[in-house]
Amino acid sequence: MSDGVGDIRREFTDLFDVYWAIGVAIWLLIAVLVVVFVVRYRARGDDDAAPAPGRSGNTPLELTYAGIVACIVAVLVWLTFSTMDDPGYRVTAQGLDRGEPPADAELVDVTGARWNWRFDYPRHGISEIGTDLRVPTLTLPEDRPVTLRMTSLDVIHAIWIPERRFKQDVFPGRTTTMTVVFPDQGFWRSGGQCNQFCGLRHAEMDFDIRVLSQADYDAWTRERGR
Amino acid sequence: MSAAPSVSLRRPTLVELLSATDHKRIGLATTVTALGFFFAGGVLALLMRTELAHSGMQFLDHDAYNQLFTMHGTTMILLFAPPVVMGVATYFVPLQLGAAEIVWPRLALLGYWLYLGGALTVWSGFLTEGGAARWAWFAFLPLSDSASSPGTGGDLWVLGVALSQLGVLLLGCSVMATIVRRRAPGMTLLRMPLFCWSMVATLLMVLVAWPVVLATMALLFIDRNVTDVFTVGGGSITYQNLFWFFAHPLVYVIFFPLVGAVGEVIATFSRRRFFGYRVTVLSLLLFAALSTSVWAHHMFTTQGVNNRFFSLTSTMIAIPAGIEYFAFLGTMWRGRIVLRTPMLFALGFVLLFLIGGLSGVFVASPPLDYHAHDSYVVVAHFHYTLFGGTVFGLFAAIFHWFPKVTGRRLSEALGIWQCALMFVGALLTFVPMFVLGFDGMPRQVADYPAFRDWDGLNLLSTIGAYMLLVAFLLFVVNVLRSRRIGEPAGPDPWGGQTLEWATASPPPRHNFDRLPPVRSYAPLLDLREERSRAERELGEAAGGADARRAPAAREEPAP
Ligand code: HEM
Ligand SMILES: [Cu+2]
Ligand SMILES: [Cu+2]
Repeated sequence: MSDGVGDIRREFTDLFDVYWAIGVAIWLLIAVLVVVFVVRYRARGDDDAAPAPGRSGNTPLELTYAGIVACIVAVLVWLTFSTMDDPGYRVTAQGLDRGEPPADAELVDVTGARWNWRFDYPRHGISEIGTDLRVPTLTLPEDRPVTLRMTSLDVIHAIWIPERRFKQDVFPGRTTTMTVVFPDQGFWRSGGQCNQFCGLRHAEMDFDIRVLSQADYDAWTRERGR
Repeated sequence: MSAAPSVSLRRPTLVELLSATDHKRIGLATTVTALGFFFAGGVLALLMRTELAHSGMQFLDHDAYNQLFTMHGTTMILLFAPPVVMGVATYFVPLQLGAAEIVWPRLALLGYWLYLGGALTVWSGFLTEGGAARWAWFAFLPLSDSASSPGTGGDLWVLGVALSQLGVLLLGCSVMATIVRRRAPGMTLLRMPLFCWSMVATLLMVLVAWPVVLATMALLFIDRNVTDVFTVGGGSITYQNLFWFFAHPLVYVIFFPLVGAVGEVIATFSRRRFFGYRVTVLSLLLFAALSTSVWAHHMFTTQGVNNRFFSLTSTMIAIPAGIEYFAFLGTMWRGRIVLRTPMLFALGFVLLFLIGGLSGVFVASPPLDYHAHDSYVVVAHFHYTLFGGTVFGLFAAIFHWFPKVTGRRLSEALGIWQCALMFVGALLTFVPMFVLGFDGMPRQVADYPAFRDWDGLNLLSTIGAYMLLVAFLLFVVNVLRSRRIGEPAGPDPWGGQTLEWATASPPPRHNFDRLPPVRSYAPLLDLREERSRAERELGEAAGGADARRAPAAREEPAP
């Protein structure tokens, strides 16, 4: 893993673990309180209808409590924002997230059209497009940023790469970008999928992802390129 | 008491029910119609779940499935949920305020008719040659323009959504005017029942957001039929901004009223005053204000909005929501909890909505949402808010108020079974969706490849959905049973705290013969407390031993 590029999947997992732990803890806390209250304060048969003593509120207590919730919120927002400033997200997420694709990134022009994808590698003169029988394959070099410049010919699509825990929308008449870094070689069948409903065959608008070593990638670009 | 109640004990004919200006008739008609659409939307969901139980296409094709999820979403979130809360409010807000009738009853009636007509218009798309709309419930452009989605079904969708939501808006105006102008003598704003306050917050959002959906639908209609309105590049973002500016407040509109109703159920069945009334009211208003500044958290992946801003505002929603939970628990604390069916549904609401709320905080974080967005994680999240929240809250309200509306009780046994089945069913249906979505399953697909190993979890989810069906059928049986042999409820079967329980069940045409004094937001509880204080004093006069056994003797000194 080259320094400074960042692994967005790991960063996702780190952030997710915190949210998940806090969420589960709060749910369990409240569930336990509900059960305890129901058991402890359950009316006994005879005083079913009698009113229990009750106060209409305790404002200082409630405001203190609101302050505690606000602190949890502040911590979560801070964690989220600092994750967005981490290298992985700075590289991957662009546009108003203020990230920048690295200058040395490989470039792929992605075009979505109902219901297929085309990948153009402008530096190598390669064009990869799916057919009715076969989904296209996105070929990438290992451990190197690749910027996808994406647009659509018809309606909104989106590219979701669950393995990288990331997605971005693809619009007609606009260009959006995302930069993916796969730290390891491999092959992911249907590893990318359209993730914005786009009509009849949206469910089948996938592509495979193949990540090669830099040497194999160079060989592939020489062979496929013109 | 006069003989007035006997008038409304006669079963109204259908025409009477649909043309009457009595707020109770309008409210009931709206609620029952909305429940009909709930059932219809549920049937569509079952068809989807049946297809999804296994990988491979079994009995639907892609086109049919795409219509089904569009119409399921549209039906549930636009044709069932907002109307049902307006229906319940039209019935109960005037009663809780001690009002004889609603303000602008004809406007409300028109609202009902527009709603019914609009909803049928949307559904009539199924009868057209090309079928119903198939562009998801949010109808993003340019998928929804005339080039990408030609066909009458789409136009009927746009028209029907506009008409039905105009209906919701008119019903809302009438309820709002009633709250402003028809409160009983002595009922200051801070003596209104919690449900009425939750409606104030709801209706403020309706007044801000609903005109926007009307305008958006008008523009979409023009774009489809007259001339391009939304340009190809920025226009699709503009449409999303407009749509979510309406649709995010929308999801609070179908949630807040149930916070109010559940709060009252919890207070009633904990036999004490709602705890934290003022702060809860404040939090509802704060919540409503925030609701207009979070919409673009649906657009984190568009590169067209400021993700940090919308992440901040959306996460802040946890503060007012947290206050409401504190108030619920504070009300139960040291109460005398009576576990009747309304309370069971209310507790189901508390536990299940919480899953939706906490997962909402999760998707409000852009780095997490980049993965979860448009996956089954989101489907699971919003079903815990809509099913765990709106539907459980609604059943708490229905079991609570059914005796008031019909004069008869529902069966507790059937209700307990329904609640248990719904609770387990909601977990079984929607928890697997979290796992599936996390593992990469996108929403809005009729099929998934067998090599993913998603069959088992999907089958579980489908089994859960059928449990939910059984639960609803139990409810139908319960209602029918109650119409035949339900025990008479009397004016106040639960020991209610608010004014609707101070009149006959069902209430006479002008609601009240006589109003008790209103000295707090729980006027009937005040009377009951006064009575037990008097009894205690009497007991003390009679001798110490007796007094210690009387329940009221355990009362703490009032603050
Ligand atoms: C009765 C039990 C229910 C079941 C089994 C169920 C099932 C489903 C399923 C499987 C989907 C995903 C369809 C897809 O993306 O392919 C879905 C979508 C949806 N559901 Fe439900 N649902 C239920 C109740 C509700 C309720 C009560 C509401 C709202 C009040 C609701 C609102 C929605 C919405 C808005 C969508 C999104 C539709 C779209 O993507 O356009 N559902 N439901
Ligand atoms: Cu697509
Ligand atoms: Cu698509």
